Amino acid sequence: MDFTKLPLFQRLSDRMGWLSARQNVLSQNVANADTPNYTPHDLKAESFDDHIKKLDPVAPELTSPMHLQGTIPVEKQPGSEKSKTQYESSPSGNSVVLEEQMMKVAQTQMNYQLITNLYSKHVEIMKKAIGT
Amino acid sequence: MDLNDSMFIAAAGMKAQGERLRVISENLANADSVGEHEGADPYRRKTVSFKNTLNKELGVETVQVDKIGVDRSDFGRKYDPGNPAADKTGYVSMPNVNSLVELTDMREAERSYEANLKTIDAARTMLQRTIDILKS
Repeated sequence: MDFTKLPLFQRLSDRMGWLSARQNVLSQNVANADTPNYTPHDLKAESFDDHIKKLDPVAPELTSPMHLQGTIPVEKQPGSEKSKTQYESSPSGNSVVLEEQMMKVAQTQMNYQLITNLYSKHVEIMKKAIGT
Repeated sequence: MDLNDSMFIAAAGMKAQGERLRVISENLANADSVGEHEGADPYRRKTVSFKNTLNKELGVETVQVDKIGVDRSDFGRKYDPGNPAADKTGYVSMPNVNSLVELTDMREAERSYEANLKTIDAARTMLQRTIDILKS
């Protein structure tokens, strides 16, 4: 039996993938906290409808080790968008607010922890079922 | 791996802020560097600006130092007839470095550096959590 084929585990690892993609976007925002004319990005919150309707992004097939992997910049990935509501912007046109970004980082980290805990709980249940 | 990418981005941010700190300390150290002889320019304040660039290997946009320019504002003047750089009227051109501005800039660089460090920490904890699943 393949764990990842179970809908529940699949959903959990999807969520983990989403959270790490968000962490990626957030670190890009923090790194560019002083870049002129930079607007912070964030991922769109996942909703159930989106999940149902979503088409998987198509990645180019690598048929030779010489091929380069497709490069989709994080903020152009499906679901990533420029933040519309901004707290403030500096005279250089940068609108990254470190406090806001840090809050989002902490949120992402907490959600991630929740998911990994859920994951191990479910693994435990599986183990109980097979009696080890 | 996504989380490794995010650590890489934050590390690039830290590098850029580190370079900014280097320029700031250069400015502060030369806050009193006047010209060697009469008519020579004193130290000119350096400025640093950032830009974001696409890292083609990872497919992420990182930050890097755009260019280190110079501040074109006027030099200060100070009355000091004994100075070898003094002109006929006894005035010396002083560098256009304002220590207060430099210190504020330094504090900002420090704060950005810390924020980058914090995101690395968060990404690391998330990776650790994933590894912990294996232990259970």
